Amino acid sequence: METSFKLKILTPDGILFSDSARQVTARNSTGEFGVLPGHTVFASDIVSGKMDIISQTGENMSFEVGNGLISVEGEEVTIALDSGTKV
Amino acid sequence: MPSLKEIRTKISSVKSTKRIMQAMKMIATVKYAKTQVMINSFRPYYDAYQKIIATVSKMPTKSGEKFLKKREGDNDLLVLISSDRGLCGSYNTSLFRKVEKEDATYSAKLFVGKKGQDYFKENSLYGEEISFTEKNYKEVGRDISDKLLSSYLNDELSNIYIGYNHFVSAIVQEPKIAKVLPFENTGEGEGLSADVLIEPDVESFVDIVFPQYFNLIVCSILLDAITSEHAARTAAMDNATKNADEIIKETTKLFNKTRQASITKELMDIVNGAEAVK
Repeated sequence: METSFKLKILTPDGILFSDSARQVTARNSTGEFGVLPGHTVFASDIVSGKMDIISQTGENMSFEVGNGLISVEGEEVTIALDSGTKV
Repeated sequence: MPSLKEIRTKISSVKSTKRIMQAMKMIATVKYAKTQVMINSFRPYYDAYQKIIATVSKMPTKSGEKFLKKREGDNDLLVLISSDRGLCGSYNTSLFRKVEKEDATYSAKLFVGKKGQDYFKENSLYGEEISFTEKNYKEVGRDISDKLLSSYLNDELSNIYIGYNHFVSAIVQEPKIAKVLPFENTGEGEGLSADVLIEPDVESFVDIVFPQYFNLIVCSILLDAITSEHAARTAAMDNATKNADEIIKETTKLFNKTRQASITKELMDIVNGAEAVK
């Protein structure tokens, strides 16, 4: 089984992150959710707050994000956010 | 024939105008380059939304219907994006001509940029002056789209169109009138596969994402329009600088000719005088 997926985080001002990752944790209107490799085809909204990523090398990364959405298809995860900064 | 002094004044005035044109061209070029980078950063973000919208707009939802269903009614609104300042060639006039040529009648107009209201001499919807630059297009876009959306959802507006100059290339900007609400062509492009799992549920997802998408459409059009404006101004100022060069060349020629003529005339006088004394 795959241990990572391709993650792209996009904002109107450019690409915030584009690399392989092992895990994403973010919040949507009903609560916190996570995405791991091998996730089913999936789409959700994202509400502003904290978002965490574990990169392929095992490094933890945190982002302060605005509203947006996430889509998962195959091994490609795309997150579109109206704003975002790495913390 | 104008006097030497008059010609000299003309040359110096054209030269100073040329300097202003050159400066404006330089500013417009820098801004144009900046907005082009902004468009390139915005594009992938917009595409990510479009892919999701293409997927969920195919699913029947109550919230989605409000955004997608064709509307009858004659409360059509035109949002017209023009520039605040002139000296940008045919940027504004070609757009205004396009609006006038159209058969469609709009019951109201919303002017973004001063030139539109100056030209059509109508009241703007919501009655306020709206201007924007490439620095605040997101805030202005959000403001406009929030207001428009609430008027639309309250059935005060039937269809919303935006008239603007679409950026094609540095020398070509195409005046365009696009229908933005209800959404059109949402099904275009590739969506996610149909067995997608949507959270929290399709209905609430659409409720959240469709207004965001409308805001995105407005912002992308604002960005497109401002890029066109800077491109148009760069081209117009480039032309103006070239014309100024032409005029300076012609007038300098005239200046030399006039000077030569007056010297010749003086010489003739002296020679004639000397002849008479003999």
